[in-house]
Amino acid sequence: MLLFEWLCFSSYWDPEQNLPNRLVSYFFKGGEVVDQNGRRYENVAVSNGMIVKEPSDDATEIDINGCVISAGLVDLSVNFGEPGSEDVECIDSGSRAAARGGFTAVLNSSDIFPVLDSAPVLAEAERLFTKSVCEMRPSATITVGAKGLALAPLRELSAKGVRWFSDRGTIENKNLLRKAMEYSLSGSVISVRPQSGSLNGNGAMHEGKWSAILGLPGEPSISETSEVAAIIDLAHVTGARVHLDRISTAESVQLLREAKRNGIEITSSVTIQHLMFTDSDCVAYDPMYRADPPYRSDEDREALIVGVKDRTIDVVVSDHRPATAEAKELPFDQSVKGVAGIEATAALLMGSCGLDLEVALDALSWSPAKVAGFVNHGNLILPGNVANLTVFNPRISWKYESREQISLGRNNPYFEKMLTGRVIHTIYRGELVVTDSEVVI
Amino acid sequence: MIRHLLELEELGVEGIQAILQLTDRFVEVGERAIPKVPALRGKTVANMFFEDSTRTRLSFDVAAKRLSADVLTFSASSSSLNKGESIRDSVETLEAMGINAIVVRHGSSGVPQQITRWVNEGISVINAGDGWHAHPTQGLLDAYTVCEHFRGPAGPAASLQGLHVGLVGDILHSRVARSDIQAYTALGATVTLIAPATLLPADISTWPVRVSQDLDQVLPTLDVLGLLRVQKERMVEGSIGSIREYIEEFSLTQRRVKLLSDTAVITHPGPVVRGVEVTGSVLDEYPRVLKNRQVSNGVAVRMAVLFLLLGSGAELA
Repeated sequence: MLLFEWLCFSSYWDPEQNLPNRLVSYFFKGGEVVDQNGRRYENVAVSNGMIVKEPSDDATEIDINGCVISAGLVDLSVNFGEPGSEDVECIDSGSRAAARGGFTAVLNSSDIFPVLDSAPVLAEAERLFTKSVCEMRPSATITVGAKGLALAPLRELSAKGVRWFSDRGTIENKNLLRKAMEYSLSGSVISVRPQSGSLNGNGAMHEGKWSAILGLPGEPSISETSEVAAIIDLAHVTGARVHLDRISTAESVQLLREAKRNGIEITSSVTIQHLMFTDSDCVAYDPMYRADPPYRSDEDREALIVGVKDRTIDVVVSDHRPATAEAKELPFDQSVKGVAGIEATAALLMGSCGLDLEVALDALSWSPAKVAGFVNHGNLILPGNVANLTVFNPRISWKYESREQISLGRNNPYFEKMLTGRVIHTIYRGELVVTDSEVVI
Repeated sequence: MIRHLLELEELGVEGIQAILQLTDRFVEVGERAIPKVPALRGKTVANMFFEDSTRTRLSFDVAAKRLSADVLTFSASSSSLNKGESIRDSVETLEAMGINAIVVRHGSSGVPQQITRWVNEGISVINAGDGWHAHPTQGLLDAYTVCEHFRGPAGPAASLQGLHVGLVGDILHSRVARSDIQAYTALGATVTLIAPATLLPADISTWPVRVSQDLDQVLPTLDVLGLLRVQKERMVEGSIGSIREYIEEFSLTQRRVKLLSDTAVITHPGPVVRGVEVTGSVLDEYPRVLKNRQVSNGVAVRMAVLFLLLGSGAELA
């Protein structure tokens, strides 16, 4: 069994497999290195895809004074729409936007069309992924068609290299979810967005004092919290690797904290938006603030930030979900949910949230790489490691202009606002993909 | 000077009082042999009703015409919305025809506010009811009608101080309830909501109201009993057990009406579902049902609102 899995995964994880053949060398001088071993002023040499000890003679020197150089960022929730929704985002635009946001690896949603629930669709997705300028991995559905009725071929897809299974929403049939946890091969992650279909109240926003005032149907916290409790129990019983995708309530954070204290191996994520916005932002009925899960109360937002700080919540995601302008001009309760914000996620988390840089990098790089098995990402800045790196200037101020965005998504409440901190360079497999905040390949 | 009327909160007490004072004048206009003034001659008001409405649409229609404005009526069922046109494009089309105000009714909360972001300066947006959110002219006309009954014409400082208003029925889904609460409490009345918990929003801790589930107990203390419609589909979604059970506890029956004080009045925004929120004969026999007066005053209130938002300061003839 172990041998079988080793054979299945080994080719996929081979760090040498896709390294570029071009011999490019860089020497990043004057920056502060931040990795799991702490902070230090150190120059970083890159050659032929790897971090090396000494710069080669032909290395291009790049001055990164005042910047932080870290492992490349890893996003476990993006929706690049291709195939199926190329009008809102394609892999070319999405991956370039990701690179510009400092990401060197992304996990794409299974919610493409057709949904990724079979080997042929996986093959097509992987063919399309070759257009990406950062590492792209697929997630597949847990159930056929993400319908929650029958298990998808989890083991076959695992054997073909899929590590992440998610139906995007929850699976109402908890017996089926349990079977999925038991049936999947070890090394696979079963990811569930906790939201009860029967308790969600068809909510357009968080159920609370603001939904009462605004006259919008509310989605109560208990719709999420009840699922979190059930899924933690299932993770405990099955011993499977379970991830709670995009939690949003204070109660969820508390349940996870207790679960981790009890030794249950469960991971979780929160979107950058849920660390920034609350239900009161819906006051002008601006569909930019309609989200899934909905933005919740002030207390929830504060608890989520504490959860990231104390590392109860492992991962922060952009949940990059592009939409057309028209889709965000519908009545609030009919508009599409979400934000296309991958280009500004790092700026918001490392600049506006008041987190220590180490915590922010853990949530945006080191932990997500580990949780989803991106073995060449989120590592120490050491010679011999693959050069997937991000250079971030924490002090620079810039205007986030919608027309300069690479993503085709037209939905972000931060458009035209000033942000502090910006990704300057992104290095993917030793190659400069982004320099001076512009994509150059 | 306000430009739009989206909800009553933004008007404040003085804003509400100003409209009610103006309403006095238009009630008087309505009693004339020729109830028409040239105040808005040359102005165009577009009625955009994305949701079915009879009385509010007709009321705005009459109000605009009595002010000598031209009226365009856009109803969703017969418009190009059926061909896939967006609300924004529909609004911009009307705008291009040269209008001065848009009166909007929509089934989704917030649409009038969204429209304000799309129209040019010089166009006023008036909310004629949006989702569960607000129905500001209904709140104003209810407050005016109650004020008129108890205190006479509103005058410059209309007040409902000392009056106890009970609103019974489906508060959760009611834009009328939200606007009534704002209007009544702004003018100093005490408001009690009477409904099962499933027909109240989950968190009304910030609302300036009392809550009761016992209509019989509240009735004798009321000066105003505001009835709200209860829709049968609330049974399907589990908000009430059955209509029979609802009637048992919350309907204004012949037995219950006797619990009201000798001076209490009954209001209803319409449409009435006789036999559900109220026994039909109660409406016909109780001496102080203000339902029809509400409709008459509705025209005057809407004239006041249109005049305030669109008037160029010209004197009323």
